[in-house]
Amino acid sequence: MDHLAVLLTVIPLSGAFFVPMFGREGDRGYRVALGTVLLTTACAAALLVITGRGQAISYYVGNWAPPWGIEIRVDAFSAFLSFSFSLVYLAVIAYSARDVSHELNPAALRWYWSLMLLLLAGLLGVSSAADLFNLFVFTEIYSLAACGIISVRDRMDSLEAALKYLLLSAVAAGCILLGISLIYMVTGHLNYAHLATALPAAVATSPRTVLAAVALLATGFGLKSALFPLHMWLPDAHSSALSPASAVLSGIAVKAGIIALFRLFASVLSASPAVVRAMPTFLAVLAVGGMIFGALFAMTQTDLKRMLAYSTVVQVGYIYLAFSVLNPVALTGAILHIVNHALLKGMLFLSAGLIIHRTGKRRIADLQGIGREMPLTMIALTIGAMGMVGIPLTNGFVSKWHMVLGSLEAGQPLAAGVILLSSLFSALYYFPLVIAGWFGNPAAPAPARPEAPPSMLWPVLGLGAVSLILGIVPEPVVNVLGEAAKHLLGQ
Amino acid sequence: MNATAEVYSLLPALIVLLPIIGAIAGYLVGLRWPTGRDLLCVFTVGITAALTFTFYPAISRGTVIVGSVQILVPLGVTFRLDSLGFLLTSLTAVIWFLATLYSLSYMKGEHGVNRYYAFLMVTFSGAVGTFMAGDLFSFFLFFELMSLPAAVLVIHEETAEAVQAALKYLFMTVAGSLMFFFSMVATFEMAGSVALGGRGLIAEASPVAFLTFAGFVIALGMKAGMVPLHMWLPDAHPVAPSPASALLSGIMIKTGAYGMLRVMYEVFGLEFLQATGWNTVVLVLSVVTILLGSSVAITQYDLKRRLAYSSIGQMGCILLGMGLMSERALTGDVFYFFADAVAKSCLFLCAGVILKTTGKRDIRQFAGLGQRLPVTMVCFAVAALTLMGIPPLNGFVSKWQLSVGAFDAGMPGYALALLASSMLNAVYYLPIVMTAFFDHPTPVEAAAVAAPPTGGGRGTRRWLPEASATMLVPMLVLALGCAVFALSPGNWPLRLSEAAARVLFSK
Amino acid sequence: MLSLDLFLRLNYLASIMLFLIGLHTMLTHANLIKKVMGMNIMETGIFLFLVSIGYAHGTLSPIIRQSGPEQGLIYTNPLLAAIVLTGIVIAVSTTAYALSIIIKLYEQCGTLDVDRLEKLRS
Repeated sequence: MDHLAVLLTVIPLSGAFFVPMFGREGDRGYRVALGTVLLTTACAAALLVITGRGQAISYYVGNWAPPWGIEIRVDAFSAFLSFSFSLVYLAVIAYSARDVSHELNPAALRWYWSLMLLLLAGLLGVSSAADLFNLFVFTEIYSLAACGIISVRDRMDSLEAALKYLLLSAVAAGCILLGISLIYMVTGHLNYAHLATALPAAVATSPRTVLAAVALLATGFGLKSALFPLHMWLPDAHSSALSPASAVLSGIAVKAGIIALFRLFASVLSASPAVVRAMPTFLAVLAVGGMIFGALFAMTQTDLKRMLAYSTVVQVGYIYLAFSVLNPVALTGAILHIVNHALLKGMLFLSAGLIIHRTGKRRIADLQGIGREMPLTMIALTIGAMGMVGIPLTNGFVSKWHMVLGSLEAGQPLAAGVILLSSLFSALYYFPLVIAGWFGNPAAPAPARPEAPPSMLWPVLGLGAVSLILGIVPEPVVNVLGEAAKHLLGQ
Repeated sequence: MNATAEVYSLLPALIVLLPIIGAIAGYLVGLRWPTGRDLLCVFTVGITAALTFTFYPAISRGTVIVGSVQILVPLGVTFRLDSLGFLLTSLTAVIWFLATLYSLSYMKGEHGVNRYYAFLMVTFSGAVGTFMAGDLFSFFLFFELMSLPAAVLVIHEETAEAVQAALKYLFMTVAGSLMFFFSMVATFEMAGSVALGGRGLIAEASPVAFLTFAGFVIALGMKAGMVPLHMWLPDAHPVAPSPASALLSGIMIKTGAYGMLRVMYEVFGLEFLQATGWNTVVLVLSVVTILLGSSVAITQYDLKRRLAYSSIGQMGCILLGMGLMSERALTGDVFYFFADAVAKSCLFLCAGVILKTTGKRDIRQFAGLGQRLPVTMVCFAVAALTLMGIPPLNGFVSKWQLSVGAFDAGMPGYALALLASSMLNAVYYLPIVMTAFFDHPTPVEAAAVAAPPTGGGRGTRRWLPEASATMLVPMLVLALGCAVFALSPGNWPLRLSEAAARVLFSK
Repeated sequence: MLSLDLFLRLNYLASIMLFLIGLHTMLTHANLIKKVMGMNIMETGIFLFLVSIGYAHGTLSPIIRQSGPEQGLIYTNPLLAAIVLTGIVIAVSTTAYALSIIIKLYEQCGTLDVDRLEKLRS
């Protein structure tokens, strides 16, 4: 059973390798990709069942034990994230089949599938890595794959966005690697568990080096996760990618940096008191900045996908802010929000994709009355918007509840206030869209185009259904995550 | 007295669920068969209303009905129905039933009827749920379930004006619900529970507690149209279709006041507020609300806008009543919920008939309407007189109790505010009635009266001179309600109000 | 002793200098090719740093001979060499990928200047 832990990354990795070989013609690439993701989902589900009972799986690659070998560690936290990410991936892959073959030439198509799987492998690798260097490698794998997915659409704006992203993520990679080497220099370890034991001594002898390393790591992963003010690559990258790719990038890929930082902080860095003092404040300030400025920018956007991309900046701020109060309830909310945002933003980008696919409209002002032509798409968009604002019965409400409750419990009503204010801001940019979509009068008479085909619609509505179910019966998930959060905070 | 029994514990859940099922079924049926949908909707609301009355025997014995459904984290949904809750729930159900009935002919031939009914029913579910909620969390859920779908009712006409009003409404609703959310979580954090029905959850006056109180006042005051948070109301209520306006003004804004009542008496508690004097916040704001709402109403010539501002003024009286903190004032206050709900929905339904048959909204053009629409205008006059507090009608009973309560509480100055409210009501309602009945109609009006525009025998039109029966009956019932439940011996709403006030004061 | 110390630390100093030069080049130059060059310089700095950590004066390369190590001799840390190798692989692929995108951009827009690209796009 322990092999499942490594299979989680090996399956998509080998899928990424095989797709270009087999997927030359027809939709075979799609079938291979879908099969791979299905297998990955099954694997993640099995891991979730095992780790949900409270035991974590440690796997030594090649049976070499740390400190020399590479350890892969899957606990409830990573299993849950892996499972939900694979689930979103399933919807996105199913959706892509039709949308992408429309946009890309057949030669590029199989590379698209390959890159998507590579991205998945990188993300799952980040969430299950248990040593710093492995973390770095998987971070690079997913970053490069993400750039590739953006540039696979061979257009000027995508290429430029991809290059911008690539260069900035190279800077981030440099920071991460330097941080890792500093930590290795003072401790002599890369494995999390060994680091946690060796770090207190290192903090005692060279506290500044450790602090510098943490600052570098926070900068690097903050850049990868679009933490304000390092978010400037995100709106270009996410709005110029293909819609399903945007869904994955904005919904999932951005979270990898957050997961890495959570994990590092929880299992390694909390050994250093200076870091415990400094880092949450640092993150909280930047998170609040992201929430406010992201919201202001989102309000001024005229392009639907850019607006959604700025909303991602805001949501990343939410997650960091909830994390920074260092309270198990708030952390439960933060982890839940990682998943909720993956579901909701994935759905929002896919429905934006549906609208663009059927009508070619992507300016918000052109979406007046779109709900009359495409009611089901608009329903998905509405659920997404309500989830983002955190209306009861959507999953966004559950995470908001935990985040606010946790902030108050930790004695930080200010953080709670900011979270609520930011929800109001979300209403300010999402509700006009919904109202205009349902009730606006289209400027030009609508062409008689029916709703998108079911093969594209069901993944979107499926994500919406999962979001609603999570909002109505969150109990099981919240219980698992509550345990995981306590475990992460060492309580 | 305070016997709590686990009777009918599933019935409240059923009452909430039924309209939602009805809404979905109605929508699906309505795609093919509009008549079937109409019947289904009226039937569903009627059944629900009938179900609420099955609580009456238990409630009249002083039993408190509790129930819960453990599906929604973190606290599950609980129901708790005491005499106050029961009075408002049954009132809501009856008025909703009448408004649905009224909608049958009012909405005939309009666009988006299917959507209208579906959202009307969902809103209904939210409204009754709000009054039956057993804890703040459930209250919040139902409050949202009512408030957000109501935006669709506001936007129904889909004009630019309606879209603007709905957006304003939505933003303020969301802002309010976030404030409520904050206060609810803070209460949970301070008290460890958000259950209603106690003597007060928060025991210690701290800055956070005051913040919590302020959050509740802002959130619920916003819904109740309390000045200065009323800006959405005069825009949102008039643009909705008239039956929806009747419900918005008659019932939905009462949920805000109801929430405030529960928060003041059961979250913070009587002694707590008396000790800290925080209820002064509510008192001052309510006096401002009375004066400002009523005065602005005088300057409005659009009938529905005048009615909307009048609603603000009436809500001021209701908020005043709960801020006084005396038992008699509270009796009057609870009865005022009832009186204003009946009268205000009646007025909006009348406005709907006027709008539908003559197309007029400007009250300066109402000359001669008394002859052309006699039944409507008589109902209108009765309801208007009720709100002025003219003796034999039920508005008088509530205002009397409130004023006496102000003296009981040792704050006679506030009785003046109530008096001012009545006077101002007279100033803006009487001219409408006078114009309609006593001004000479313009020649066009006279011609319209002499020769009814549409065909049909004169004989039938004598009986139903102005509108179809489904529109007239609800108005008549409501107007009758204004008159009957005043000084008559079988005045069960007043009995319930007394019981409710007694429970809140004497536990 | 002091001079030796300085000499031993010179590689750290150099690696930090290289890192900063590379970062500066990446962030300030408008030319895409120069940005990529800056990226490479930055990465070289990091690799130098990594190798420096693992190296101690007078140690052997970590190759195990048949006869076994002689007494009293120590090896340099092989882990860091492995890490640097992996890092170089990543750096090379990133560079290759960045250059290929730049070629495509040049084909489509005829410029390598970031500011002009920005203008062209909007």
